[in-house]
Amino acid sequence: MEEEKCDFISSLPSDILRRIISFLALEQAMKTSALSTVWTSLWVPVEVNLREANREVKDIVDLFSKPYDSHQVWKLCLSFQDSKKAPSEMKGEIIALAAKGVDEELYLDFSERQKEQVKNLCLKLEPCCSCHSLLSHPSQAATFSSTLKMLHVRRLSNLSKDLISGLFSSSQFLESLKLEGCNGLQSLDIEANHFLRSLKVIDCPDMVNISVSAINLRSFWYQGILPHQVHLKNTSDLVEVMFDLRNGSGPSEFDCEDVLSLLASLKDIEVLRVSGWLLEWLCSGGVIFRRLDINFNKLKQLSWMDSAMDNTKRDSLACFLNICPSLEKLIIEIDPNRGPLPCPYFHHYWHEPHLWMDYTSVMSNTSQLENLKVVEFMGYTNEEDQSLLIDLLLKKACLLESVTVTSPQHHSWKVAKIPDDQSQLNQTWQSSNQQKQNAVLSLIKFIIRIQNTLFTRIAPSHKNATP
Amino acid sequence: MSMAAVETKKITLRTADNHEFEVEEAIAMEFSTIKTFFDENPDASEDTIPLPNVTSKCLSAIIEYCKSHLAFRARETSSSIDEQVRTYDEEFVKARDNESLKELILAANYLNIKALLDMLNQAVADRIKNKSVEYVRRFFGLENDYTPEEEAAIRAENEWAFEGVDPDDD
Repeated sequence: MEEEKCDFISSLPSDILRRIISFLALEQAMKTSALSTVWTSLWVPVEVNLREANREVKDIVDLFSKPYDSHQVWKLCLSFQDSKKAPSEMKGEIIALAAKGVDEELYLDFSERQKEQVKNLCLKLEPCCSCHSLLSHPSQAATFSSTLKMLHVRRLSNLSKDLISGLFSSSQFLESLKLEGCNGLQSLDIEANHFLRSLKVIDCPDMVNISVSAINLRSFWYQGILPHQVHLKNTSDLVEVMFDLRNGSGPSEFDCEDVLSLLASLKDIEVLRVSGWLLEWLCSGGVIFRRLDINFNKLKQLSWMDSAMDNTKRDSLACFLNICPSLEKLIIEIDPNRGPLPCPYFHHYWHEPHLWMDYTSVMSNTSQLENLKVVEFMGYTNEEDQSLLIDLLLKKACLLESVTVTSPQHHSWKVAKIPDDQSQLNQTWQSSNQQKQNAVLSLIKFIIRIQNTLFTRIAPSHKNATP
Repeated sequence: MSMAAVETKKITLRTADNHEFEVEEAIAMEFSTIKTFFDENPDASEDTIPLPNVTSKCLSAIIEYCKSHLAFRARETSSSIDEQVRTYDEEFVKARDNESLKELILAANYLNIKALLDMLNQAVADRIKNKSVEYVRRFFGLENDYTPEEEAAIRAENEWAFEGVDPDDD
C-alpha cells in the first residue's frame, strides 16, 4: 500500500504550513525551522532597521503588540544616538532576533556583538508609569501598552536593558518572564503586577542580588550560581520553586543566614527542587534543621539534585526531611555531570557542629514520614549510599506506595515490597500502623540481586534516550 | 441521474476520478471557490463543475462534513450543540490516517472551505505537538536536505527553541 513517498511540502502552499504551525506554541513551532530548507524559508526573519531607536521605542512595542495570524520572526537592528553627541556618533547598536508567537509569546535574543563586555548590569523591572529610562522624550511616558503574555529574553546589555524595562512596563498582562544567559547581570529587581505567574532566571553567572515582589507569583525557577542575596517579598502565593545551583556558590562567602532567610520565605510552598549541596553545606555550617523556626508544612513534593549520593549528603537530606512533615513525593536526581562541589570549612557554627551520623543513628534521628507515598530515584547506580537511603525511606514511610528506580541508561523499574519470613515481620511490628506494611529487611539485597536479571526480563518503562 | 425532480437546486460536481456528485446548492455554497465561481457566472448553475484536484473519497467526506455542520448551525446555539460539534469534529479526524488528512487539507484549501481547513490544520498541529524533529519529518514524508553540519547550524541559530531533549519518537 506504499505509494510513492509523498512529500507533503511540495503539495501544500507555505501559507497553509504557516497556519498549521501557528496552532503550536512558539517554541515548538520554531523547531520546524530545522526540518528542511523549505521549512527554514518559512522562518526567515524580517529585517527591521531603526536609526534612532530611543525615539522609536513605541514603534518597537507596537510592532510586537500587533495581533498576528501566524508566528513572526524579525531581525532588529536598532541604533541609539547619544543625544549629547553629534548624530553621527552612535551610542550603540542592538542587534536582536525577535520571535513572536500567536499566543502573545515574545522571544528576544540580543546578539553578542557588543562593543564592550557587559559588566555590573542592574535591571529594574516595574509596572507602568514609573519607567524613566526611556524618557529622553518625556511626552512619550508610558502611553503605549502591549498585550504580551510571555516574555523570554536572552542576553542583555546596557542598551537593551532599557528596551526590556520599557517592554515590561508596558506589558500589563505579562504572565511569564524568563531571563536567560544574561552575562554581566548582577542585580535584578522586579516589581510585578498581579498578572505575573511565573519567573525564571537561568544561567546568569554574575548574579549577586535578586529582589522580587510579585503578589500572584506561583512559580520561581532559578538556575546557576547561588546569588549573594535573594529576597522574595509579597510572594505569598508562591507554590513551586526551583533552585538548581549547579554552578556552586559564587565568589562571595557562603552565608548561612542569607540562605536560611531565603528558606524561611519559602516555607509555604508545595513543590521544591533544590540542589543537594545547599542542604549539605547548611548542615556543615552547623544548622540543625529541627531547631529552626521553619517547617515546610505544605511541601508535598521535593526534588533533590546532586552529582552523587554519599554519606554526608544522605545525612543532610534525612535531616532536612525532618522539617517536611507533609511530604508526599520525593525525587532523587543523581547526575554526575553536575560536578562535585567541595564543602568549605566553616569557622562558626549556626547551632552547633553537625555530628555526621552513621546509618543507624540517622535512622533513629529521622522522624516518620507519615505522608510519603511516592519515591523516585533517577540516575541510580547501585551504590551502597543510595541503597541505604532507599532502606531508610522504606522504614520511615509507612504509607509508601511506590518506589521507582531509573538507571542512568533510562531503564526503570519499580521496587516492590515482598514479605520477608514471618518471624522477622513480627519483630519489627511496633504499632498497628506498621502492620499494614510488608517492609522487607532484606529488600535491598533483593533489589541488587535481581537488578541484572531485570534488565533483560522486565520491559523498561522508558525507552533509551537518544545519546 | 434521472431522479424525480426535487425542489432544492442541485449542483453537479465531477471529481478527478470522474465520479459525479449531486449536492444541494446550500452545501455547494459552503465551498467558497464554487460560490465565487457562481457569483461571477450566474448562468453556469446547470453545468457540471469539474474538480480536477479532488478525489471522490475526499469530496464525499467533505460533503458529509458540510452537511453536518449546516445541520448544526440550523439548530439553536447552545453549549450542548457546541459539545456535539466538537465531538463530531474529533470523530471526523480521529480515524483518518495522515495521508487522508493531507488530501483533505489540499481539497479544503482548493475548495476554500475556511472552517474545515482551520479544523484540519489544528488536527495536524495536534498530531505533531510535542514530537521530535525526526518524527515530524517522517510524518510529512520530508527529505532532510540538510547536512548534519548545516542542521546543527540552524539549530544553533534558534538555540532557545531546541533546548531540552527532543522527546522520544512515538
